[in-house]
Amino acid sequence: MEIAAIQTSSLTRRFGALTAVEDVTLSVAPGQFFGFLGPNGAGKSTTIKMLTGLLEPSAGTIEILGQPFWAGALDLKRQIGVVPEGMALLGRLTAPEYLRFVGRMYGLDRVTTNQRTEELLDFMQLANETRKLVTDFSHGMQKKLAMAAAVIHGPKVLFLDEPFEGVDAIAAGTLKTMLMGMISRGATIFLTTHVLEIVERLCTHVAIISKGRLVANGSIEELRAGVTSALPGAEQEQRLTLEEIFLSIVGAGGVQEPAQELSWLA
Amino acid sequence: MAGVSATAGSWLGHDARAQYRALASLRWAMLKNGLRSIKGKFEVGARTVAYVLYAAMGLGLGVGAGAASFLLVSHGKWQFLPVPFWLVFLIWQFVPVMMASFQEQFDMSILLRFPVRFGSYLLLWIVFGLADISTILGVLCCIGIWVGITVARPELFAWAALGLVIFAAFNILLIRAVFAWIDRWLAQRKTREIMGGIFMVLILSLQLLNPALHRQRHSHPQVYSSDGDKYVAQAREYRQREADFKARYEPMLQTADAVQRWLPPGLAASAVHQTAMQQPGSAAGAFGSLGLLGLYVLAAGGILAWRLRAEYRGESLGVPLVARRPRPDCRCHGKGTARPDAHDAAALFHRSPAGAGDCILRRLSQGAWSRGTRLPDGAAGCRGLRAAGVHPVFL
Repeated sequence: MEIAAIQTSSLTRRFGALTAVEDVTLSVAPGQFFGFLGPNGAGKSTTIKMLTGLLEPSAGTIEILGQPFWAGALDLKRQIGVVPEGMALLGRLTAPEYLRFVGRMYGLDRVTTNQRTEELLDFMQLANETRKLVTDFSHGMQKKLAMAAAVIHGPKVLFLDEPFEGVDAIAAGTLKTMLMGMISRGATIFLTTHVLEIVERLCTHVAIISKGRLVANGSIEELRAGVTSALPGAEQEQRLTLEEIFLSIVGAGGVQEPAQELSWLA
Repeated sequence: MAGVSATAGSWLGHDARAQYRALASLRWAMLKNGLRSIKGKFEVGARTVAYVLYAAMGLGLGVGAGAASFLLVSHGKWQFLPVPFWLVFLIWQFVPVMMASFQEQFDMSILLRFPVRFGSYLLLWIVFGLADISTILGVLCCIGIWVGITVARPELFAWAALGLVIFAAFNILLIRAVFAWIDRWLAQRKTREIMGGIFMVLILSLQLLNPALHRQRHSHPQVYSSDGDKYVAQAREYRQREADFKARYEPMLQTADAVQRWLPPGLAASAVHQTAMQQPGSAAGAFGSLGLLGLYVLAAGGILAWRLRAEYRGESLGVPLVARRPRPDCRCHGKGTARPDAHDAAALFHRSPAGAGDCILRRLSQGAWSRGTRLPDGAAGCRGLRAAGVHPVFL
């Protein structure tokens, strides 16, 4: 039996009376590009924080690459990369300084760190910006730098929290090329994003979380089949987009007919 | 994963040392880059001036503590020797809480996504606290006390040094433990408002101390028939007041003295005193005091380790992380922050739990600055200057 790259069992996180994530059980196979979707406040970022050791689960277990994972599992931490919510960059550094810091923190030797820093800056088209402070970078450049920092140590499992948010088409193209390259070399990617077109194009499997609970999990085709089968006969013939599948599963609660709401708008 | 060291090592192992070096390089790079802008130069300049002011204040306090210790030891007033130790303790523990926002609080939680051992995390937490103002003031005072005791009684040189080193270790660990807790509490707006209120009341109360203490003198003016009568009446009044004071407060002071002997400042003073007595059993008593002081050090270290262990594991200790949003007035990254300015970016690393005092100072200054030209945002240092102007009042 193949060992899952990421395996959670009844993962739960409570903040006082609020249960942000409840009983989430999922499995991500090695080499899979896994999309983790959900509306705002559904528990995606909380789940990623737990999966990367930044937040302790209230209940449940996590296994990464077949081994129990917790904050002190240092060998496993060396094998995962994270683009966290808000990117967690250090604005007063230049891009090479930041990448060298991250590389050294992950245990890379100095020569390897310098070499990879140069390669990553070249690939991310940041090589001409080595004197500029990160704080002066555009949003897209910051995203590319955060991505470079997440992969500098060559992780086997990569967690990405909204990596494409606010990124232009050129930068997004660069990031996608790099991610697809990683997948082709056997890495596993766990992605949360609101850009469903990207998920549809990149991900082979998708899970949807809503109000802290996992409400769908499977390949996109499986989800499509599940949703289509529930439609009236005539509509079963159409091919649903991921957005339609997503809205169908989580419900389009709150989405009103334009004519009914905000009628004062021009 | 090629190139990644596979050795686990200890908190002083090869990997850990490489991480410490990386952090040191990072700090240096941030300082160096900070000087690239006018804003950064202002900040570093203001910070330097503030440190010089505090160092001068520390020297003054150290000389004062040294002179007090010298006089107390040379005149054999051993019962009052704990007083300078208590003053040092209060300075060490309360100054940083009041001026928390001025000091660079290294936001260690940023390290948690890297493979950092808990021992390294704990060590860095302690080490990064060594450069704060309270430690500088406290250490200078301890040196002053040590010099004062040694000059008065040279044979106490080693015991005083030992006692003061353990006392300093206790203070460092305790204040780091306090900060580990209040960092989380002060992240909540309500707590900051309450602390701000308490701070304001404290300021106002201090203003009222003088009239309260001298109320009697001014409220009952007396008319004297001659100079002789005046002095007799004054002497009688003084003796009466002294007797009243003794009757009223002596039992309380005796109880307080009995209690303070078992607390760290009292224990440190007691160790020196017992060594000075040079009587049979006094060495054992000194060892006992130092041993008990050592237990306090372990307790403070244990509390710090317990708190940091929870943070290391990602535990929220009952405070919802969802509620731990960056403060509007705090220069921290918020969710989805796209372009942090230089200030935000620095604050990500130097995230500072707002001290209650600074909350007040900030609000006062915001009001003042809103009416005039606002200073460049090298404000950490500027707040330091403002704080430097205010805190001596409390010292």
